[in-house]
Amino acid sequence: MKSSITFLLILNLFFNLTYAQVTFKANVSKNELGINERLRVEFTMDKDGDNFTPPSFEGFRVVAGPNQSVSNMFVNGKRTFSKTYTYFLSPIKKGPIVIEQASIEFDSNIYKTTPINILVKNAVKLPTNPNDPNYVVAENLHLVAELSKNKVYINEPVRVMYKLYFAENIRPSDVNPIDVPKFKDFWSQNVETRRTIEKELYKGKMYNYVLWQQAVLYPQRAGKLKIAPLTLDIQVDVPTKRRDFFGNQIYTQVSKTISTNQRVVNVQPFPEQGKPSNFSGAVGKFSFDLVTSKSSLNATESLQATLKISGKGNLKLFSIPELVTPKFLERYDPEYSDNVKISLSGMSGSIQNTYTLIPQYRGKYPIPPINFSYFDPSSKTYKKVSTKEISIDVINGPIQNERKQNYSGNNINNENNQTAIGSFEFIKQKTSFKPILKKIFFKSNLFYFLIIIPFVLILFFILFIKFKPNQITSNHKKTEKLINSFLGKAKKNINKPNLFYESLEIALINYLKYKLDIETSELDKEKIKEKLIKRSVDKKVIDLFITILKNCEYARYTPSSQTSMENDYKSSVRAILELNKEI
Amino acid sequence: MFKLLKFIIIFNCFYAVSQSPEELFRYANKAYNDGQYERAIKYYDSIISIGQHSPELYFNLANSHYKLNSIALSILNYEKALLLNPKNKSILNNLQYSKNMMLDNFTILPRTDIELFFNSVLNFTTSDGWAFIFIISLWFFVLLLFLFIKSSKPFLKRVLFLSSVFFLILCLTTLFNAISKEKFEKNSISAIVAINSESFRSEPNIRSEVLLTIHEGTKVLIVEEVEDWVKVKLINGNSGWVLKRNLYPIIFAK
Repeated sequence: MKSSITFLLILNLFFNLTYAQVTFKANVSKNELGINERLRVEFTMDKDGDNFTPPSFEGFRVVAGPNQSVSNMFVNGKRTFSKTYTYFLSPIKKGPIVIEQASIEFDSNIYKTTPINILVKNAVKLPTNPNDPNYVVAENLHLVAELSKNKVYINEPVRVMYKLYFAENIRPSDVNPIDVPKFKDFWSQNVETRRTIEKELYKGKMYNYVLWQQAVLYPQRAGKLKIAPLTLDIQVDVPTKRRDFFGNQIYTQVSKTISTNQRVVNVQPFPEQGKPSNFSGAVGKFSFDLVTSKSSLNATESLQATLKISGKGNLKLFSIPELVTPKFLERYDPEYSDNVKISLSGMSGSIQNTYTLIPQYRGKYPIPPINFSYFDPSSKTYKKVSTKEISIDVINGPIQNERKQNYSGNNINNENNQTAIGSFEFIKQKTSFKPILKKIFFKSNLFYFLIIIPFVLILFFILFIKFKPNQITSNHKKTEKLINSFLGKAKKNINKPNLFYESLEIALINYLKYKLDIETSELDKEKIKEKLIKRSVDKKVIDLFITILKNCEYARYTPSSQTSMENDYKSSVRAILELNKEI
Repeated sequence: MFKLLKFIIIFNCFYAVSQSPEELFRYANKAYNDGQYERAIKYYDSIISIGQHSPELYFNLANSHYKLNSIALSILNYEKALLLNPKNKSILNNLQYSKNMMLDNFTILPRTDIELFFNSVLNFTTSDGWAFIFIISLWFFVLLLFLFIKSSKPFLKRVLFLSSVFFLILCLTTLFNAISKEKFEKNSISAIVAINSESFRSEPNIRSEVLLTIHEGTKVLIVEEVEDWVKVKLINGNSGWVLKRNLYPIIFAK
């Protein structure tokens, strides 16, 4: 079993050996070349293979190819077959580059070439054979990027034109753009060209040229901005020395890849000096207008206000300043429209914002001037333009009452706060003037003086008026009161002897009780006398009291006359008065 | 020579003040009616420079500025007129017309009813008015107290005591009002923004952040001053710094 497998393997090997006679090779025209030279690569096979897969050719650009050729030769009855794929490569970078393997399929076997090392060196001076068609093309075909300006400010337009110059004797037949420039850091707009052949002097020699592409660029940032090159692959018909049967020159076709040189635009930032605060990046030359559709109207009607910027410059790259209106002139969002043409010299035309305004109340609404500033690159200064002040008169309509509004937030019943507000009132004709610098009363000397005065007056009264005469009169009044309180009842009964004396006696005893602090049990004429003497009362007064009391006692038993009653009353009054003085 | 010069100066002075304020007022009103608002303003201003004023003068001056669309000056003068005559309807009416021209529309910070009540009480009169009421009530109090001490009838005594207590309370409240009103008058000076747009900043220097932009005619309350800058408070409660020279303070000055 094991031996049979070995046999099969050996047989298989023989089979393969017979097929190994197929050759698939890669040949290059040279292993070392300058970066401006071209390389020819041929992949050759002596059998008719299929599914050819070329390598990626990294580091090269495929200029032409694959060109397939098949040759079938019979030499002395022996057949030689070869199939060739040819590529023309142009290196992109310097240094060693490897051409990877190519593969092909034949009889369901895949054959591969060996990788080839190529060294790309610095550009070599091309042979200056005047008859070499490549040389002719190189000398007579030029692709040039032309800038209208090298040094610009941000947002100042730059025109770039790609011109293809070619001498009279050569004829470009087919042009393929390989690398179309993308303008990074620029706002760009391509401008159509007709691509007609015109004549122009270039480097002191008359050339035909085609304006291949042109664009307007607005640099968006400061610095040295590179403009990526345009690369074209051009088939050029070059005349040879040979002539055809009729004597006409025979042309050979040369393929040429041509790029523009890299151009740099030096973009300057805006000068800081004198830069207005409202500068929004507008560059060029502009005028600025505000137009309203009406100048007088009724409240709640609408009017159109149009802010328009017209002129030349980067119109599409900045915004129009906002319209500012009084608070009661209702303003809606603007409607933007533009009419901008982009030509080779840049943008021109106008942009505008149209606002709808609705006044709410009667009155006058001045729209203040609106400022717009731009940078003028020709004079290298900032320019300011502003609209004129426009006043809108609202003739009819309700009148705003701000106070009503203020209170409505926290006071539901605000009817009382409303005051009827009428039309704008005329000036007053009558007035009375007062000095502006009036004296301040509060905390002035007069103020303090007026505070002190009443207190001083009271003090004065207390000291000089109330102190003396008032005391006497008041004492007198007091005793009168005293007498009245004690003798009042007796006085009432002056016509009834019995009652009179009774009440008089009670009154006197009460009075003595009150005065002398004696108890009712001690009431006795002798005791009263003792007490009064103790208090060192005048003897006459004591006697008076005693006699009155005696009279009272007698009166109980004997009838008394009116006169004696009156006498007794008077003497009791006197007695009380006298006693009051003593004690 | 010197005497002659002196004479000329004195003569000129007399000439300058020879026109009475009433006469100037008449001239100004005539100029206003003829539509010569600038001239009217000149006349009105000359009355103020003499040192005389009246609410009507400020009212007419404000009207003239209104006609010339100068928002800030018209509002300023209406406010001055209102200081002298706080409840005049025609001043409030025309002030509203001036305010219509303004660009700003701040909502007023809502205040409580109690606050509004105290404010309306305090605004009843000026600090001098309150001081005057205080003096009168003090006198009454002293007089009634004196009578109370003197009187002997119990009913009368009771009445006198109660009324003297009433006047004592009145006395204390009016004194309190006078003091707080004076403080208010001194500390709460308002001002009108004079220029079209003024930056309202967080700090008193130009490097600081601009909080918002306020426009001509906006009334602000002056809180404090630092060199060229004034800290102000808006009616919506925001406060910030603005340049002093861009404000017209609402104070009376020649």
